[in-house]
Amino acid sequence: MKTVRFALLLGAELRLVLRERLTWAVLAALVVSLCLAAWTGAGRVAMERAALAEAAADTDRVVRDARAAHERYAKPSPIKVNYWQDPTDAFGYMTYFMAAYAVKPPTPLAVFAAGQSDVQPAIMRASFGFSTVFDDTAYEPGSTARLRLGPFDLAFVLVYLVPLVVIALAGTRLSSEHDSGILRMIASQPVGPRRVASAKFGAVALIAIVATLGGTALALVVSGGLGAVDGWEDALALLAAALSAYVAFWVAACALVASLWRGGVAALAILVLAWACVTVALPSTLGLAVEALAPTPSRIAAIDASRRAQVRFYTGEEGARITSAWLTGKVLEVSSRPGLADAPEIKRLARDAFYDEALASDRDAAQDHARAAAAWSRRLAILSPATVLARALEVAAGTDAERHSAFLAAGAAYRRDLRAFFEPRILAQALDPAPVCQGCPARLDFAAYDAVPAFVLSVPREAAEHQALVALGCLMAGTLLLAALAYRRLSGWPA
Amino acid sequence: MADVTTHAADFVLEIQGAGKRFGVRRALDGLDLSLRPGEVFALLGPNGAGKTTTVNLILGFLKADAGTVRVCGIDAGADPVGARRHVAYIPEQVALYPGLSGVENLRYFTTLAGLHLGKATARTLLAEAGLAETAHARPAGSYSKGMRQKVGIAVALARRARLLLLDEPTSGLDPSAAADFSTTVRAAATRGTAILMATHDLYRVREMASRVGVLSRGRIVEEIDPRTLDHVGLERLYIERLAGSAA
Repeated sequence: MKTVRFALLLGAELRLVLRERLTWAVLAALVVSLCLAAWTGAGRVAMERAALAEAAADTDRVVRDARAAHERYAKPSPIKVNYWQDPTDAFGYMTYFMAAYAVKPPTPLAVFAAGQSDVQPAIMRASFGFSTVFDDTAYEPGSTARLRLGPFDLAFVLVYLVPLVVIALAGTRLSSEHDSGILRMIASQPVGPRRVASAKFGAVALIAIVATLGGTALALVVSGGLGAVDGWEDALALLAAALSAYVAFWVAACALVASLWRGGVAALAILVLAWACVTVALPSTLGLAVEALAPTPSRIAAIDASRRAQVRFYTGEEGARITSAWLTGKVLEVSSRPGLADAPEIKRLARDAFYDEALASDRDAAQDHARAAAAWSRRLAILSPATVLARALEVAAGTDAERHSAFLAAGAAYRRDLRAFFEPRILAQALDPAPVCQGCPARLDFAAYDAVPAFVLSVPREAAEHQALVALGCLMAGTLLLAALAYRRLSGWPA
Repeated sequence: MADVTTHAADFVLEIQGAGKRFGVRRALDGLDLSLRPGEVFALLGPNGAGKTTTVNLILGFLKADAGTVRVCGIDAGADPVGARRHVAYIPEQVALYPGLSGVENLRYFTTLAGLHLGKATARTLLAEAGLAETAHARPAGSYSKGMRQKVGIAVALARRARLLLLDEPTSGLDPSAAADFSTTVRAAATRGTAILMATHDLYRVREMASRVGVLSRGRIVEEIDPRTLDHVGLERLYIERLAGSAA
C-alpha cells in the first residue's frame, strides 16, 4: 500500500471543509464584517484628509487675505485700524490672523485602525489668541490597551473577530469526529493522528488565511480606504504575514485543544475562554499593569497649577513685575522707550513665558508619563497575541500612542518655534514702531507672511515595518510553541 | 479449529498471551488467538469480556501490558500504522461525514489510507459492497445503518485488507440487511480475507463463522466449531461456558 501522500490528504481535507455550509456562512460573515470595518475606517480617513486639506486651505487663505490687507492698508486713507485688525502688526498677525496647524497626517495604511483617531486629534491649531496655559494633554491616552477596544474598524475585526472565525472553522475539527464516531473510522486507517491533524488544521489554516487576507484586500478595494502605498509595500507585506501568523496561532490553539480529546462542546468552551483571555482579559490586565508601572499624574493638580499661575500674574503688581523682569532679559535699552512694559503685546509675551516656566514641571510630568506609558505598552504588548497584532496595526495606521505623544510634543515645539519667530519681530516693532507710510491705516510694516515656519510632517514608515516584524516574530513563536505542544500530545489515537 | 502446527508466517493475526489492565481491572488475561487467511472467527462474550480491548490492541490504539499482537507479522503495539495497513475495521456504528455522499466518503477514507480512487472505481466498489447505485450520490446523512456499513465494507474492499475486524456488525440491522451483510462477509472470506468478528448475534455467527471463541474475563475459555452445532445448541453452550467461567 502506498504511503499516505500529505498533499493528497490536504486536498481531501480542503474539499471536506469547503463542502460544509457552516464554512461558507462563517466566511461570508467575515467578509461582510471586513467590508463594514473598512468602510468605517475609510470614512474616518476621508474625514481626516478633508480636515487637513481644509486646514491647508485656511492657512493659504489667511496669508492671501493678510497680503491683500497689507496692500490695502499701505495706502493713505482716513480709516483707522486697531492692532487686532492689522496684519502689518507682527503681534496682531500672530495673535488674530495667523492660521498655523500642527498636523498628523494619516499614513497610507490608516484605514486599518482609523477609528482610534476619534480620541486622537490629527490636527491642532497653534494659536496665540487666547490663553493656552499648558500643552494640550486632554487627549493624552492613559492606557493604550484600553484604546485598542475601540470602534468597529479593521483592527477590531482582525484582532477580535478573526480568532472567532478560526474557532468556528477549526474549533471542533477532530473533536466533532470523536463525538460522532467518525474518528474511529479515521483512526482505523493506516495513518497516524499527527498526519491527520496536520492535514485537517493545515486545510483550515489555508482557508482562513486566504479568506482573511483576501477579504481584507477586497474590503480595502470596495471601501477605497487604501490610498497610494508608495514606499509602504514592505510594511503592508509584513502586516499580511503577521496577520497570517495570527490566524495560524489560533489554528494551532484549536489543534492543541483538539489533542485533549474532550469532545466538541468542551473544545469550543475552552477555545472561547482562551479567546476571552487572550483578546480581552490579558490586554485589560496589561492596561492595568501599564497604569501601575506608569501612574498618570494628577490632571486636577495640573489644572490647579495653571489656575494659580493665572491668579499670580493678575494679582496686584505681580504681572507688571514679571513683565518688567522678562523685558529686562530681552531688551537692554528698556528705558529707551518709556511705557514699553505696559504695551499689550509685551505683557502677552511676558505672561506666556511666565506660564511656560511656572507649568514646566506639570508639562514635563505629563510628557514623561506619556513616554513611560507608551514604552510599557510597547514592552507588555508582546505578552498577548492580540495586543502585539493590534499594536502592529495601529503603528501601521499611525494611530499609536507613541506617534500621538510625539505629535503632541512636536505641536508644542512648533508653537515655541512660532513664538521664537514672532518674538524678535514684535519686540523690534515695539521698540521702533515704523509705519509703512504717513496717513496709512497700516500701523506697522510686518509682511513676512511666507516666512512663518511651517509644521514638519512626520509619517513614520520604519516604525510600522519594525512593529509588523515584531508582531510576525512573536506570533510565529507562539504558533510554533502551540503546534509543538499539539504535536507532542497527538502521539496516538484515543482508544 | 486452528492448526497449531502451522508456521507463524501463515497467520494473518497472532495474539499470544496478551494482557491488558485498566487500573485494577484486568481487561485481557493471557489472550491467545491466531487467524489464517479466509478464516472467519467469531468472538463471543458478554459486555466487558474484553472484545473491544482486543480490537483496540489489534488496531494499535492500545498497547498490551503483556504478550504480543502481530498483524501479518507486524507488532501492532510497536508499529500501529504498519499493522493497520493490513487491517480494515468496521465498527458497530459506521459513522460517515453526513454532508458527503457515499462516493465522497469512500474516497475520503481511502485517501487516508494512501489510495487515490477515481469516482468510477468508487462506484464499482460501493456496488460490490451492495450499496444501491441510487444511493451513491446521496448525502450519507440520509443512509440507514446497513447502508453505512456497506460503505465501510467498500473501504475495506478498496484497501484489499488482509484482516477485517467487525464489531457487532449485525446489531440494529433488519434481517434482510443482515443477510446481505453475511453474504458480503462470506464473499470477502472466500477471497482470502481473514475476519475477526466480535458479536452477540449467535444466529449470524452460526451462518458466517468458521471458528467461534467464547471470551470471558479476558481470555478465550472455549473454542467451538460452529458447524457441529445449530444456533440453539450454540446458544446453550455459550451460556454454559459463561456460567462456568463466572463460577
